[in-house]
Amino acid sequence: MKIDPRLLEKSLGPTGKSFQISRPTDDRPFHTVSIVKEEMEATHAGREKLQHPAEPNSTDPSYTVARLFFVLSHFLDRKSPEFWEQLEKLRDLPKDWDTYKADPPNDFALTWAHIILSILIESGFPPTKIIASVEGGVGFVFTQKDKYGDIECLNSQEIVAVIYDRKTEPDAWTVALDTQSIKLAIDKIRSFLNA
Amino acid sequence: MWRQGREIDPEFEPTEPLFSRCAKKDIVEGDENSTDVLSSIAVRFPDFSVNRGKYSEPEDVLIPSVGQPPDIYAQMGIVKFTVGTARWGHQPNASPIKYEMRVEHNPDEDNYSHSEVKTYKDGNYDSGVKINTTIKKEYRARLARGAEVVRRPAI
Repeated sequence: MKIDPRLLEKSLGPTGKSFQISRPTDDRPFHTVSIVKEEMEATHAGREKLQHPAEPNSTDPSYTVARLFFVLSHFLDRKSPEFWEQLEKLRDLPKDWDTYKADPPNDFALTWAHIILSILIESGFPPTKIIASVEGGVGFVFTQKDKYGDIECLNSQEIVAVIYDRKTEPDAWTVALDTQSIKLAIDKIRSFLNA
Repeated sequence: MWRQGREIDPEFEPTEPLFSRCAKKDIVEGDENSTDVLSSIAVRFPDFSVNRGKYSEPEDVLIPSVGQPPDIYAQMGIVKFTVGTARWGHQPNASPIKYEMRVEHNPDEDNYSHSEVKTYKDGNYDSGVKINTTIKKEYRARLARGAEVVRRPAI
């Protein structure tokens, strides 16, 4: 994923520093982000070694960049606010929200869910429903008559997808953690539903 | 519903219905062209509880256990699937490991029909069994695909 450096600068100022990000829905602060100038320059230069101070143990570049995207996405003009609100509500789920000991979505699941929702909305393929997963995570559900598809971002740092209908057995697969694979998964679901 | 000293009945016909509660978030409501469907995202794994149809009515899943508030499940919905749908044997390609989903009668004192769908690995039960996420997803989808919403949830 590429992040426009102008967007970084616009959002974080020319020197970086710390910023408190507010929820788009109710203005309650929920995240403090510190990104120093050197890190911004690293992003400018297109290098992937971007260490997010809020996640000191996360050195996975795709995760770090994804998380940064998640933070920045709160600055962007958003289409389809109802879906973003559905997703934001999942952040507030308590532990054992389903009374069967399910965990609420963690940062990993929410971060990738934001990326998936951005892609879905940009591609004109909004989900039928966004729900918490009983396995721990966030799920996007798609239906078209008797056809069904979903993508699940799991707390276990995996993304899985499935398609099926009454006539065909489920086809489930793991989605790699990059935007190209997510787009391919979305295309596969869309093609199946519209066939 | 009360057990009243009855023995465990280990025999399940593949066509025997099993019932479970569902919430509004768990289903996608149908319209004139489609029926309500259970989302696979709402299916638990590796183990989950059901009521068996041989000894209960669908609405019995809405009866709270002893000590729970009387109306705790009153607004919830009901899904039905068969024993044949819940059972599943799976052996990944080129793998010596075999997974099986079995249905077992596990009566409670206040709910004789209570049963459990459990995952066995190579014939052994382990409640903490770790299974490949894609295999889990396939099973959860199979179950959701075979489920029927017999009462639409209000909440």
